Amino acid sequence: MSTFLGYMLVAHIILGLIGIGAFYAVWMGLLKKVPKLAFLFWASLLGFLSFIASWLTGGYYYVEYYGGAVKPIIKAGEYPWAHLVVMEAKEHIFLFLPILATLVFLSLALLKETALLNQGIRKALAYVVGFIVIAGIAITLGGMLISGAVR
Amino acid sequence: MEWHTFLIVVHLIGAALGVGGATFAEIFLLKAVRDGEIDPVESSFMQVTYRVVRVGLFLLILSGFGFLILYRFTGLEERLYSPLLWSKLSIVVVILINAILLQARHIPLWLGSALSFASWYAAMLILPLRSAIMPISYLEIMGWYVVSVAVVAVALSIIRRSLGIKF
Repeated sequence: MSTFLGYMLVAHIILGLIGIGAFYAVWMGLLKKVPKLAFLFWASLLGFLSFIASWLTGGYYYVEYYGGAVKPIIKAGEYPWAHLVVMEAKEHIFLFLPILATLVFLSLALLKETALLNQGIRKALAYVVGFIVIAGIAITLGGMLISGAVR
Repeated sequence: MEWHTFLIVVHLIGAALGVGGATFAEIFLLKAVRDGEIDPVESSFMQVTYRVVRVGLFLLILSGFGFLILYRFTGLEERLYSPLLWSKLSIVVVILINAILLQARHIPLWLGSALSFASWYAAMLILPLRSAIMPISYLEIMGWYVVSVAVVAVALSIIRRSLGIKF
C-alpha cells in the first residue's frame, strides 16, 4: 500500500470516529431537559462534514486499493465472510450515514430554539441521531473485522 | 517518541481520567443525594466530573483505534480478533449506551451507577490482566463482567443503605 493510500485509510477511520462522536454529542444534547440549539447545530455540522470526508477517503481507498489488493486476500483466507457478509453490509449501511447526517444538520440549521421545546420534534430527531450513532458503531466494528481478516 | 509509546501514554491518561471520574461521580452522587436533594454546588461538581469522564472516554476510544490502525499497518492484524479486545470494545459500547439511557432517564439510577462504575474498572483492567487470564473466550470475559456489575450493584446498595440513602 502506498503512503497516500495509507493516509486515506487512516483519515477514513479517524473522520468516521469524529463523526460518530459528534452525533453522539448531538444525541446526548437532544436528551437534555433544555437542549442548546447552537451546540446541537455545531456538533451536527462537525459530524456531517466528518462523515462526508470519511465517505470520500474511504471510497477512494476502496476503489483504488481494497477491491484489487485486499478483497482477494480476505476471500482466499480463513475469514471470507469478513468480505462476503460484513463488507457487503458495511458498504450499504455506509451510504445511509451522510444522507441522514445531512437531514439532521439541515433540520437543526433551519429549526428555531423554540421548536426544540416541542417533544415530538426532539423525539423524532433523537431517533434519527440514535440510528446514525448505532449504525456508525456497527460499521466501525465491521471495519475492524474486515481489517483483522487480512492475514 | 514512537507511535506505540505515544498511544500507550494517551490510552493510560484516558483510562485514568475515566476511572477516576467514574469513581468520583459515584462519590459525589452519594454525597449529593444524602440530604434528599442536589444543590447547585453539588450539581456543578458532578457536571465537571462527567465532563472529565467524557474526555477520558474520548482519549480512550481515539487511542484505542490508534492501536488498531497500528496493528493493521505493522502486520499484526490477528490481534484485531482477540477476545480481550472485543470484550473491551463491548464494554466501551455499554458505557456509551448507559450514558444515553441515564440521560434519557430510561434506566434506574442504581443500575446505571453500577454499570458505569463496573464498566470503567473492567475496561481498565482487561488488558493489563491478559497474562493472568489467558486463554479465555469472549463469552467467559463477558460472563465475569456481568458478575462484576452485579457485585458492584450489591456493594453500592449496601453502602447507600448504611448511609441512609434511598434512590
